[in-house]
Amino acid sequence: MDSESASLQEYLVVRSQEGDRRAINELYKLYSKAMYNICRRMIGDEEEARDVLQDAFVDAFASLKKLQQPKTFPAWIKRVVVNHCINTLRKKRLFTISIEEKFDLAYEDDDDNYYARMEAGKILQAMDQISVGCKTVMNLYLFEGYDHGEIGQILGITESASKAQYCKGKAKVRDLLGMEKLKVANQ
Amino acid sequence: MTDFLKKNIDERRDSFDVFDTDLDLAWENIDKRLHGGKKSGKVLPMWGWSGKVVRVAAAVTLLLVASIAFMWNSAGSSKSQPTLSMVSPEMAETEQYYAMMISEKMNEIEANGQWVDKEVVEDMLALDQAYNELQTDLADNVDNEEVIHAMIVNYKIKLDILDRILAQIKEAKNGAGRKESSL
Repeated sequence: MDSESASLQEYLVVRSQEGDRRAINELYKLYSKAMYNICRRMIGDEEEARDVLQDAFVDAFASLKKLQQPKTFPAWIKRVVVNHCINTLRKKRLFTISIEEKFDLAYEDDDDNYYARMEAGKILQAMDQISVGCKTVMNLYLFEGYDHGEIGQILGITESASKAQYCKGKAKVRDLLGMEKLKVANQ
Repeated sequence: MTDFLKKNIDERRDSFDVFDTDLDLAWENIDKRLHGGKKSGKVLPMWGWSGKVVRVAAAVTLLLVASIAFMWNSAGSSKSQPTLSMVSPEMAETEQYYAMMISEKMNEIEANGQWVDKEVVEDMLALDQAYNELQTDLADNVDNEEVIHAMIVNYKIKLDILDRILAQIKEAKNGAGRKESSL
């Protein structure tokens, strides 16, 4: 975000904290697409993801006054949305995550071009086919910029368990993408 | 070992925001749940506001215009603090332009004898406070592009506020004119 956008964003946050509805709407417009994409990647279903997005924004705006530093709004709203997604998955009892801390990666023969050749949609599709626990760790690490220590805190597991889940998920995704490549090659 | 998947996603992060939905519909639901379907009451000067913001109240005109003028003079053009003119001749011109525009618009508001809403005055004060802080940052590093940008944004927002006050004054005048002519 450039400094001009950052200044405007901070101004909007301050105005929103004072209860200005137009400022709240402008903030929503700035962040809703990115936040909806977090929901879709984590939840999967379109309608359900939209419901989670709505719940998260209602909670965020209702408690916005508690945010002491307006410049931290982007990280704060992302965390609110992520927490809502995780709670939704937990309520559906879909979210089980292994606490094993070791995962032997049998192979790691990727190269720089392997993923570069893949369309973003294909990678997301493959990630949607793995276990919810692995997918959640992968989403938080790959797209939301959390490190494994932070993911461990968010999910209530150890940093090592987060790393193990990531490696396991990545191996599965790689297999799925490899199979996809073979299918294309055989056609 | 390099994580090529992570590296590749970092390089084209935006292309992974592929999903879309009716975000306007979602907003309607959010707004309803936050405000129970009530119409907006408070207003935001940057994006326009309702007719309530500017009201004719000649008795307090001088006081408030004088307040804004004081704020502007004391913060925006303080000689003891660094200004954009220190950065380059181009920035000096930019600053001069904004200062002149703001001064003209202040005079215009004053000439119209209108009362400016307390909220607007508070906004101007907050902007001046922010400008003061930026001046301090500029003193530390005169080449700081972020600070320079923020100072220009600050000018733009002030100008925008004044423009909208003037637009409301014109609207109020036109409305009053129409009322009189229909009697």
